[in-house]
Amino acid sequence: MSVKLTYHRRERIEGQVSHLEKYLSEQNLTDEYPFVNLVESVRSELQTVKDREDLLQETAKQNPSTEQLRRVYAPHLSRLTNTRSRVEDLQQAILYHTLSIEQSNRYPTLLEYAANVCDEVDKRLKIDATYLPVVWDAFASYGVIHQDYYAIHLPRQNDVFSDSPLLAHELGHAVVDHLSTEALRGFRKELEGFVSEFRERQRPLVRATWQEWFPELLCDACGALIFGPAYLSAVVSNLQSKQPYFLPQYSDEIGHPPDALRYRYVTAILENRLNSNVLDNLGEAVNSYEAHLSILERDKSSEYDSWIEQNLLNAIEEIAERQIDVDLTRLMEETFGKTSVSETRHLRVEANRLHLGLRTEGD
Amino acid sequence: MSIWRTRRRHEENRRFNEQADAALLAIGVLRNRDDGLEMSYQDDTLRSQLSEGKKLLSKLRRGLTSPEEVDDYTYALSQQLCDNWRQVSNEAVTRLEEDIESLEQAEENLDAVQGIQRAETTLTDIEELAGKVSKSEAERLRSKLVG
Repeated sequence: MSVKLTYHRRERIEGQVSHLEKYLSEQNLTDEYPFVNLVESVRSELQTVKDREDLLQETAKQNPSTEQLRRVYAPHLSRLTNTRSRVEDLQQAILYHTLSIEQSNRYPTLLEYAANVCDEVDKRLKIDATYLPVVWDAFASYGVIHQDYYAIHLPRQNDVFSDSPLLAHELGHAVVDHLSTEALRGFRKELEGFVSEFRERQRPLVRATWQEWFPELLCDACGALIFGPAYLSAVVSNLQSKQPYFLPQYSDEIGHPPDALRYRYVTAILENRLNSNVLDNLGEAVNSYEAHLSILERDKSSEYDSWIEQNLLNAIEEIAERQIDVDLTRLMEETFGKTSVSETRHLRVEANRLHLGLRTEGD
Repeated sequence: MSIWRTRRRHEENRRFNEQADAALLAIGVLRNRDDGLEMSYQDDTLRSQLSEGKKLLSKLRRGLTSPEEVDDYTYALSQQLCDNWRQVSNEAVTRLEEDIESLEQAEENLDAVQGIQRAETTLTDIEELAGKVSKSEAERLRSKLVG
């Protein structure tokens, strides 16, 4: 009887898929990327499920013991669950597409601007991927198809212009997804060396924390290398933790790197590449951030400094540099009007002029 | 945790789960045949599914012996496996090596060789652990995307 239950579940999934395919057909999206790939993946999974059903049926007909039936039944059920999960992937892709179409009427300027920034950033990245900006609750990146197709979430706000450098951080997640084992080897080796300096019981937490910090810091390096000073300014506006030196004590507390680390990391990347006084022009919010950190330094745990390893930060920066076509020197020359503004940099030049006080938003 | 990370963990663990269940099905077929049941399943498919299991166990073993050579998701699963078995890394490596050997022999002989039951238990543990992570990350994603 349990075999019939699996048929019923498979038929329900097929029903859902047919419904989604009908919708895609009505919208003339059947042959469009990424839907064509996702439908193909679901159909292929369903074929695997059907092949296994034949095996299950054959087994069930031979009056097997519960254990004998379980050997075929359990992996089959698991596959059904994963097939349903792939249908959810398709549902999400459709959701993002529908949202994007609806929002293009409601927020045309915002979405067009974000798409243009994504295009400009994408040209600096040595990867091939598609980005779909949608208005959501905060900046975020969601891999609809791993390495290939990303929904870029934007907050619902009037001014995405001053925050536009944060889009480089979000596109940085696609860079992380494209890193080869080879590209990561240096960082991982460095991490193992660093972790071994800690007491044995502390090692898993330190390792897991840096593994979690790694993509975020790499994305920060991407943001700094692509957008320059404007990235530091935008990121500082969004560093609002009440505990800028926060270190996790348990694995479920691991999250983004502490604000103090992110601020100092981005600052150091830029200071090493720009003329000494450029960052001084970023305005009060940035210039007073170090003072903000000093006030809150009292809450810094005694372990904090031992957790922050410069060699790991350098390794991350080197990885980012290899994945990006860095044009900071030209970006700064154009920002300061020393050369005419190139089409490939004009949105980043505008953002830097805004953050460096070289123009106002209304100009 | 960012939704990017949540999504990646969900996908990677789903992949581990699929690899494990492919190998589990193949082992189930071999064991049922050994019990005298008729199981119409192509030899090539059996070999390829056992090989998937072998690849998965080898990767998890590498997660314990050379963490710098594997991705975070593999590393995390290999650690979870040690916790699950209440074993230190060296003991888990030995167990995985023995299970890889059993799968290798099963792939060669297409037979429920000695040791295959332990490999089956190992793969079931992996399938359950990865399935649990994938499911919880999917739920976390759903709440983030809907909420």
